[in-house]
Amino acid sequence: MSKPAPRRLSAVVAVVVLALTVVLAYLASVVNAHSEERLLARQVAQIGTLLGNQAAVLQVELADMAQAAVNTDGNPSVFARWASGELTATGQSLSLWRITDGKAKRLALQGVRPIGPPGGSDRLTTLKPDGKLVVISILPGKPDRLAYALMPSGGNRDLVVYAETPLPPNHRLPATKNSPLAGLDVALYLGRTTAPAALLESTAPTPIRGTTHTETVPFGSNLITIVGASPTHLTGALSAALPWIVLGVGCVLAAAGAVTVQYVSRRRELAERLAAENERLYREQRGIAGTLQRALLPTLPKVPGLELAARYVAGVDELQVGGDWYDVIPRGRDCCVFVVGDISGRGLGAATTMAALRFAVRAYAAQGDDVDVVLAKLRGLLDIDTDHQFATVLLGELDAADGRLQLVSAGHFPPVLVTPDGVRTVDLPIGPPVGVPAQGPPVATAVTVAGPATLLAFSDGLVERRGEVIDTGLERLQEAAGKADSRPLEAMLDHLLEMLAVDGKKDDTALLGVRWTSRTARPARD
Amino acid sequence: MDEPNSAPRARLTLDDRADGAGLVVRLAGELDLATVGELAAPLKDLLSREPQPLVLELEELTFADSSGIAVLIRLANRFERLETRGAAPSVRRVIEVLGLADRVGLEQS
Repeated sequence: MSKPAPRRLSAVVAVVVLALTVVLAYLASVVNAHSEERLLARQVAQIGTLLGNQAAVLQVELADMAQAAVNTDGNPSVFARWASGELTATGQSLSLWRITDGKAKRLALQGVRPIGPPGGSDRLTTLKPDGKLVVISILPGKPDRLAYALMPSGGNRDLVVYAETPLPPNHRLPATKNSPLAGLDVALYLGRTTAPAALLESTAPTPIRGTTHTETVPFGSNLITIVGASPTHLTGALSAALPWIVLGVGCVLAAAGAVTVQYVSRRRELAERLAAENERLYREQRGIAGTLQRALLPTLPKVPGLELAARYVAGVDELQVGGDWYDVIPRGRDCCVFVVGDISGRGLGAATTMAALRFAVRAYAAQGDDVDVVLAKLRGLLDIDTDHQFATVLLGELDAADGRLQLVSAGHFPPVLVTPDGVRTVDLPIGPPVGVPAQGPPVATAVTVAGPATLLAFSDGLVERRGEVIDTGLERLQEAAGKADSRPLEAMLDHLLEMLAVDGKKDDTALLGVRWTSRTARPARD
Repeated sequence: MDEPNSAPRARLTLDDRADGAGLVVRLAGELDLATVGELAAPLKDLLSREPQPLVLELEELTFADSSGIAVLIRLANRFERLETRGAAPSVRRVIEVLGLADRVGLEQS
C-alpha cells in the first residue's frame, strides 16, 4: 500500500458522507418548505373565506336598511331607527341618499359626518339597482375610512344607502388571540394590488416579509388581496430545524468516518510493515540456519574410481540448524569410508554434537580404524542422560575394486542398493543409537556387491511422513530409486528429492549417493 | 513463527500402579521437537523419582520423532524395568528402526 493512500481514502469517505448529508439536508428542507407553503396557503384561504362571509354580512345589513327606506319612501326617522341598530363601532357613518336627475341628495344621516366618496356624492349616481354591496374606495382621513354603498333592487330606483367605516389607526390591527389572523403576518389590500395606498389593514409592518402567500378573493363588487406570511414555523420547530440537524450530524459523521478510516488504514499499514519486517527477519534467520548447516557439511572429496554426490535440504519453516550430516573419507583408489548421521533435536546443541561426531569419525577413519571400531569409539562421546541427545549413525567402508562393503548401523536406516538385479535395502542388524547404552560391541556386516551399483544412504527426513508407517516411505524410496538409476548420480539425487518431497516438511534431509562400476578382475594395487 | 497457542499437543500423565508395583506413565498427542518442551516440567518430576518398574502406555501417542524417542530412552535409562505398551504401528516402527525395541521393552506385536 502506498503511503498517501489512507489520507486519500479518508478524504473519499468524508466527501461521500458529506455529499449524502447535503442531499439529505436539501431533501429535508424541500419537504419542510413544501409543508410550510401548503399550511400557509390553507390559512390564507381560510382568511379569504372569512372575508367573503363578512362581505355577505355587510350586504345583508345595507340591504335591510335600504329595504326599510324603500318601504317608507325614504322616511328619515325610520332609516335612523334602523341605522342606529346597525352602528357597531364608533366613527361609522351611515346615510340615505336619493338620486334625482343625476344628482344625489342626502335624506338622512346616522353616525359621524361622511367624508364622501372621491369625486363627490355624484359617485353614488353610478350605482345599479341590484342590491349588491359596492365597495367604493379607501378615504383618506383621521382615521382613514372605507366607503361602501348599496342600491336596493326592486321597484324603487332612487334610494342609496352609503356607509363609511373607520380603518384601524395606521391600518394596523391589534394582535388578538383566538383571531383567525393570530400567529400570521397578514395584510389586506383593496383590489388586485399590493400598493401601499390600497392597504386596508395588516397585522404586521407592510410589505409583509418572509415567505409570503398571496390570494385575491371577491369582496362585494370589489376584490381583496390577502398577503400572508408565517413569522414562526407552521410545521413546528423540529421540522424546520431538521435540515440543519441532518447537516450537522452528517458533518460530524463525515469527520468521524474520515478519522476512523485513517486510523484503521494507519493501523493496517503499521501491521503490514511489521509483518514485512518479521518476514524479512524470519528469512534472514532461515538463511543463517541454512548457511551454518552448509558450512558444517563437507565438500565431498574426489575418489578415483568412485562417483560421489550428496544433498542436504533444510526442513521448511525451520529457523534452527538441524543435526543431519554426511561425510566421505577417501582411502585411496576405489576406497572410502562414508557416514550418514542424524542428531536428535535441533539448534545449536544438535549442531555442536553433529560437528563433534563428524570430526571424530574423520579422525578415527583417517587413522585406519574399521567402521565397527569407529562406532564403538563414538559411543563414548555422547550420553543421552547428560546431553539429552542421541545420534543415529550409519558407517560404511567400500572397496569398489572387489565390491566389498562393510556396514554398521547405530539406530540408523540401512542403505538402499540399486543394481541391475534390482533395488533392495541392505539387511543389517540395527544397534541402539549413539548415546544410548548398548549391549556389547558393534559388529559390522560384510556385503559383496559387484558393480555397477549405486548405494543410497539417507536420513529419516527422506522417508518419514507424519501419520504413516516408516516402511511406506522406504518402499516409496526404493521404487523411485529403481526408476531413476539410469540417470547420472547428481541428477538421480535431485530426482529422488523431488519425488519424495513433502510440502511443509519439517525435518531435514541428508542424502548420500555412492556409485561404482563393474570390475571383473582386481587390478594391481600399489 | 505462528505456533498455534491452542491446547498442548503433547501430554504426559503419571499414576502409581494400583498394586504398588511401580508407575504408569501415559504419553499422548504428538511428541516431537516442537512439543517436547511442553513436557519438560512433568518429565523432570518423573526423572527425579526413585528407580522402579515403569509401564509406558502409548495408545494415545500418534506421532514421535527422534526428540520424542529420546524421552523414551531417558525413561528406559532411569527406571529399572520399562514396559512399553500400545504403541501405534508408526511409533512402533520408529522404535524398531532405531534399534531400540529391547531397550524400551516394546511389547511384541
